[in-house]
Amino acid sequence: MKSKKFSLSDLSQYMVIISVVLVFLVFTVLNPSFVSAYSLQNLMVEISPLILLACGLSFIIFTGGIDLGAGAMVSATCVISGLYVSQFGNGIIPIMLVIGAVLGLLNGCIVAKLKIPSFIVTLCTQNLWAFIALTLCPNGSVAVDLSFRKEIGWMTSKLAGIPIIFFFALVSIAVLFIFQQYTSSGRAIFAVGANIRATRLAGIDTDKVQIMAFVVSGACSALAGALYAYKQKSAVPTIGDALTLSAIASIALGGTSMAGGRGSVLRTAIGVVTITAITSGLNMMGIDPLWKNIIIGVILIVAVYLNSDTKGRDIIVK
Amino acid sequence: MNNKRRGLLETLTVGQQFVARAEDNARMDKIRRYAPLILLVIMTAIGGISQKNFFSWANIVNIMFQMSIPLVISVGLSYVLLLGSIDLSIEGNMGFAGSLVAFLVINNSNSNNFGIFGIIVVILIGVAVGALVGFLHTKAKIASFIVTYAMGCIMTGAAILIYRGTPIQVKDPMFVTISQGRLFGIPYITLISFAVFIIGAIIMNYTAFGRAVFAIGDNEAAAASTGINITRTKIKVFALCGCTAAIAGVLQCMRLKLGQSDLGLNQMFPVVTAIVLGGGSVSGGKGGALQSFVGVLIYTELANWLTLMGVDTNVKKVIQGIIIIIAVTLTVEHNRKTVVK
Repeated sequence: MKSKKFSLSDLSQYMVIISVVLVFLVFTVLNPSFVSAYSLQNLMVEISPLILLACGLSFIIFTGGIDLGAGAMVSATCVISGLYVSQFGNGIIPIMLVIGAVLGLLNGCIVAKLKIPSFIVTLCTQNLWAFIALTLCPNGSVAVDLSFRKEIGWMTSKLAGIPIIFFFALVSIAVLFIFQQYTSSGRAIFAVGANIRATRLAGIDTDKVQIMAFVVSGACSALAGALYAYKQKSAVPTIGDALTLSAIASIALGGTSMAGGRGSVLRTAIGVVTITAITSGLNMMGIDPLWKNIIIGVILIVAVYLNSDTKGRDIIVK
Repeated sequence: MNNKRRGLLETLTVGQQFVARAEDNARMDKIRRYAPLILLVIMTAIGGISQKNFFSWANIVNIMFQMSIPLVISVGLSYVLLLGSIDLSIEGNMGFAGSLVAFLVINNSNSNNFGIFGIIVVILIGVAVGALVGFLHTKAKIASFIVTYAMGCIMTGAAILIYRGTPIQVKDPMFVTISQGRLFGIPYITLISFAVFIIGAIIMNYTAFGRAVFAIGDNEAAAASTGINITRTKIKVFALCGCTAAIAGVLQCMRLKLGQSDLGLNQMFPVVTAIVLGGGSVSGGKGGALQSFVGVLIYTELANWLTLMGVDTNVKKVIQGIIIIIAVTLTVEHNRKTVVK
């Protein structure tokens, strides 16, 4: 019995590598054009914004919280950047970072200061983000003005065959990885997730750490929203609807524990690659895209199960 | 006032201090118990002032009709919130139940005609899905919001797969009768929903299972040590919630005579708002069937009034969110040793 559980938690550590290799192998065998240059370039463009979203969201999950409104925040920020990019030019990207940080700050303050579970708070605030998106764009997507297309085209153009948007994602992963690994705030986020009371007793301001996680996640979500606006070249008020599920599933697949305290943004990034490869692979095989949510939902449950700490008998899970 | 009390407390003996504190708690409990009723009176007064025929029989029937589907959902969700868990799969469950029942009875897309058996099968599937959620939640120790969120997405996907893009129109005469029929001027759907509510309330208040749910929500460790089977009770609760979600989906399908996944869209969040308004707590142990009823009534009157004022749907959802956060802030117990994550 004991040895079985040990192997299970071992498996969760290697799950992400195994699954990404397996997914690429299976789809390449089924359809050799899956690893063609064109399809890989497409995959890179596809994963970049989702990597930002999922890696940012990881920090909230490291603290043991969750943000069910991450997708809605992407919608809101995608709409804002799509509508105002023609006024601010490429300066919209730093502006979105600030806006995202402020939105995250709002979430974080409610969670940390009012002591309300994060899933309740984000369930409520996601309506606010959806409201922003749908109020600014009441009649569906609005395309960025044609005369302005050239100025935002650089994001999806290619440098040495690799889309620039992908470099953008790589730099973000590097920054977030350094934040997670080598800064005291980054380490504190894991400490809060592992044992909040012990962390508080160790003299760390846990409220500040929780708020910090939400601010980082908000900034990343907003950046993801801006990237979607650049990628789609329009403001899409519903773009984030399906993204929360994909992001959480990617994080879980990466071996990050939903209870907090364990995980890494690198693993999350590989999880995003796996999830996106599965959906685009199924697409290429001509399978009904309606299956996508079902498959990702099942992956989420299985991955969370493998990561969950079932060894602690007296843990109360609500 | 508070400082004065504290000064007074210091001069008392331990026993007297304990009594004073217990009285304080009792006073807070009383306020919490009567706040929803006061809110109900205020909302009714606002309704009476802003609407001319508010107290007419027709309007009362109308309000009862509007609250019928939220009431059915609230029956199951009350149990889940009493545990301190949440069920985010309700919307998916409802959409799936509505789509499947439209598929099974007489409709415009196939020649199925299972009639009442179709409804029974759909409700049984709802129970099975709820039980599966409960099983995953308790046995695999996955937090309820994750497992129900994933299950909700799966069920929504499955619902769309049933009808593949074109929502199914229901032609079954039984559905037409139920959706249009009235008894003493009250629509059948309202009567069914009130019956479901009464059954739910009886189970909650007069069975060992119902009392066990309260005990677990209040203090899970203590409940376990008194011999309550936590796992089995929780699985039953989620199965019950799946059951009421399926019933709500079928009723919604009867009302609209259309089977699609959107039947469940935006149905869960108002009910959470309503339960919290009625004095339920998201951290468990507080609330009950009657409180949920009062909450749903307050919410329906509030929604009516907002519609009358011409408030946009998206703004309404923001208002719901603010209400939940305020209500939870007021009812959350800071002295309780809970970890907020």
